[in-house]
Amino acid sequence: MKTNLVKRTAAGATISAMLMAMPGTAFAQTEPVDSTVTETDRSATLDGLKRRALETIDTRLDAIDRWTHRVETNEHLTDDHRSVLIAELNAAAGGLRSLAADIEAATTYSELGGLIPKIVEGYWVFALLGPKVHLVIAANVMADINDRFDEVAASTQEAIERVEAAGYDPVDARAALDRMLAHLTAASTLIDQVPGSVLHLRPADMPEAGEQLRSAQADLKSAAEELRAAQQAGRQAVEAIKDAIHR
Amino acid sequence: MKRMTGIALLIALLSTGCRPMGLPAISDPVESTTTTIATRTTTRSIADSGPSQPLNPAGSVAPSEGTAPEVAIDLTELDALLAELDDVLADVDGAMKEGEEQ
Repeated sequence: MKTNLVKRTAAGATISAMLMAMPGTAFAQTEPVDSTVTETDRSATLDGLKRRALETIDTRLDAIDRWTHRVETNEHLTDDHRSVLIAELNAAAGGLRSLAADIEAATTYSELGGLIPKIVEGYWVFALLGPKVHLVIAANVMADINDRFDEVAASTQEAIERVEAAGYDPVDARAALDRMLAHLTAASTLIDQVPGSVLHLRPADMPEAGEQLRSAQADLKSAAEELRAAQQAGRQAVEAIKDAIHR
Repeated sequence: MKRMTGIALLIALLSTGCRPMGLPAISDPVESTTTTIATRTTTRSIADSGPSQPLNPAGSVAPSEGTAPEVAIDLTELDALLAELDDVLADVDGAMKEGEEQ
């Protein structure tokens, strides 16, 4: 709970800074009355706030553009995952552009005070969308790597069968291959659950959804360890085949 | 009439798998012939992939020095794949960190 509160505070820091820059009470329903601020100053402050808000939106739109390009060009993504991610990226970009237009058109502090928080809380671009995109891409890349490892395991299996057919008994090679296959199965299970665990997350699920994102990240790291262990077992299997032939 | 009965008898014989000499039976094992060929092909391809081995009396291949089958499995590709894996995990770490900072 404390962690969520800290993260929520950190995520909204930029927006809070902008809101705090408003003269008087940021969320007041009426324009702040401050005798020390002239109409010109207030107008400049309003414009300054708008400019900062629009820059904040641009930063997010730039990131969305980069991620969209990655999703469009990544050769590992399945068509389903690609289309879901592209739809979400497009929706976020469209929403932020529309929000930018509203901010541009705002004429009062209260109007601006109602719009600025939406930059973060309406989309959670960096806290949710970016991690989702990267987690799903990583899961797809790792699934393909896992498939390639499976092919190597199949080649190893075939080699063991040939050695057996030639009258040798590569018992250690079979054991190592079994370990390799067990690691690949464990990796596959971890990898396969990641897209399903994060693709459904929406801005309304934040900041609690952050926990699911971290859990998916941990799953991919565990899967990577399983793949490394599979590689080790594969090496041992090949060495054991050679030993069985030459001993 | 006699001719009609002869034809009917021939059809009946063919349909039960019996056949007069020289005629193929309807239930001839065409598929099993295919399977045999396929099995032979598979056996040959495995046998051809290594040096020939002498058969012992039990029918298995006796191992002997200098006739071991060649084993060629390239594991170097896995190193490259694991390097790619590190890259995508670093991207995920970066995205998660960026999200927490923002």
